Amino acid sequence: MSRPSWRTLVVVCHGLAGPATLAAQWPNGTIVQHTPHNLTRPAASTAPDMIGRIRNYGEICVYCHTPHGGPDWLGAPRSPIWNRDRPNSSYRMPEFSSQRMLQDPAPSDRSRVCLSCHDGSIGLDLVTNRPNSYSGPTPANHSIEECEGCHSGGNPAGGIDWEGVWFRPDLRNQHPFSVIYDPSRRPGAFQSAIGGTVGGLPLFDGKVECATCHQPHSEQFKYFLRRSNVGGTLCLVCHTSPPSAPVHQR
Amino acid sequence: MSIPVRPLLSALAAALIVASAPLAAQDNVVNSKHNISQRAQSTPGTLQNYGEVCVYCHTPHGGASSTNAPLWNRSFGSGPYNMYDNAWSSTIDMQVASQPQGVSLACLSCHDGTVGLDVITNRPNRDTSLTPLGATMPANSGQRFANLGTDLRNDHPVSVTYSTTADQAFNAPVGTRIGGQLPLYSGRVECGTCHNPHNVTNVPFLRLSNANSALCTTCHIK
Repeated sequence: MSRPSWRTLVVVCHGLAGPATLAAQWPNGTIVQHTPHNLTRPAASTAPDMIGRIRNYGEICVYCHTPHGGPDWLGAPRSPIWNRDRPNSSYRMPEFSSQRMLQDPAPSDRSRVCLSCHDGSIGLDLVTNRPNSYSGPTPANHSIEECEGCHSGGNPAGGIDWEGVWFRPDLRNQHPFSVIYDPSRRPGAFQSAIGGTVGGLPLFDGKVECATCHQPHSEQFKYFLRRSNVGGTLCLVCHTSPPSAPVHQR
Repeated sequence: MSIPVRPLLSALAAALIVASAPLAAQDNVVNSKHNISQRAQSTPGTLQNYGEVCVYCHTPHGGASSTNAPLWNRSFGSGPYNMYDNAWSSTIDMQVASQPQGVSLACLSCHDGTVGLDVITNRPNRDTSLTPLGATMPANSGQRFANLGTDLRNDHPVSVTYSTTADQAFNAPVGTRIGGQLPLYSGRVECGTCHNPHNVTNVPFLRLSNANSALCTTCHIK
């Protein structure tokens, strides 16, 4: 009998790999290529339910960024350089009876950058500028709502559970954002802002936005946090934990 | 029968030399969009066909005295330009010049859409009967965005003094080339850092393929 050729060995090994979860492969991916924000990975998937969901542009950055001719919906300072349209859903902003800081009536452009995928209104591969090297079909235009449809609940497809990744336009139960950070509105409850940051976390035009807590390129701290929240340390960068509030003591 | 060892060895040596050659392909501007003579022929009445390829940008004698681009046969972009600079962006940490510098001004002489593509200083063989027809860079549409205009705030920053001290999320240069391949100009990122105007192997005139965003990640650590 003949020895198996090297080609056969390659096929067998790939077959044995199985549907590994992202978490198992890249537990704390520190570059965007090793995170769920690398959309070439689902785009290249050969799983039957994945084919045709997301076009594979062959580049990672292009799903969010473009080097030239970015669309004209962000005022200064501009997110570098956004390659997607402005989402114009009808949003309900976060509502908390205890909230004192002033919040915009609708998401500012800084957070609409994130919502351009995460509110489900725009397909994940619907970019403004496609790579020059891409000659495939036009965007499939499937939204993140569809991702969560399978990758959640009791039997998440492929072992990937992304429940909550779809931020419905009703944001009333989300952490406040597009909020002017003003600790004087509730004395003693918040840390001071210095030079446009709170403890090193950036404010944008003085406001808390998605990117105050999140950075989209590294999962060193799940989920795309700027720093660890073990022990609530991220929360406590802004929020103080007054000893007079027993609910905050564990 | 004997094996012809010597020819075999030299063939092998030749193959190894070819295999170890740098990945950059030979320049091929003649079959690219930078061959304006071709464009003049394919779009009659818009551009003068000077019958040469290089002359639309270069001249062997009496070129522009600035060293921004070799023997430049055009004006340089005059602007003024809006820059993607430290005032515009909240994330950029390196210093951006107040106006484009160096070779970027050469690129902008066509790509800002203000000056005709055939408006050159020296005509071939001093033949002044060949007058420019003056068509400028076509307006952007669809997936074409070569006309940058004078507002560069929606374009990758240029004339940036590259410094991994200012921003650690970038790869250090090897000598004057980032990743050993992308040149800095007087320490700055310019158009020519990412683009080689004579080589269209990696559309559009990229110095490296951007498959898997490899061009982006030569500099950016993300």
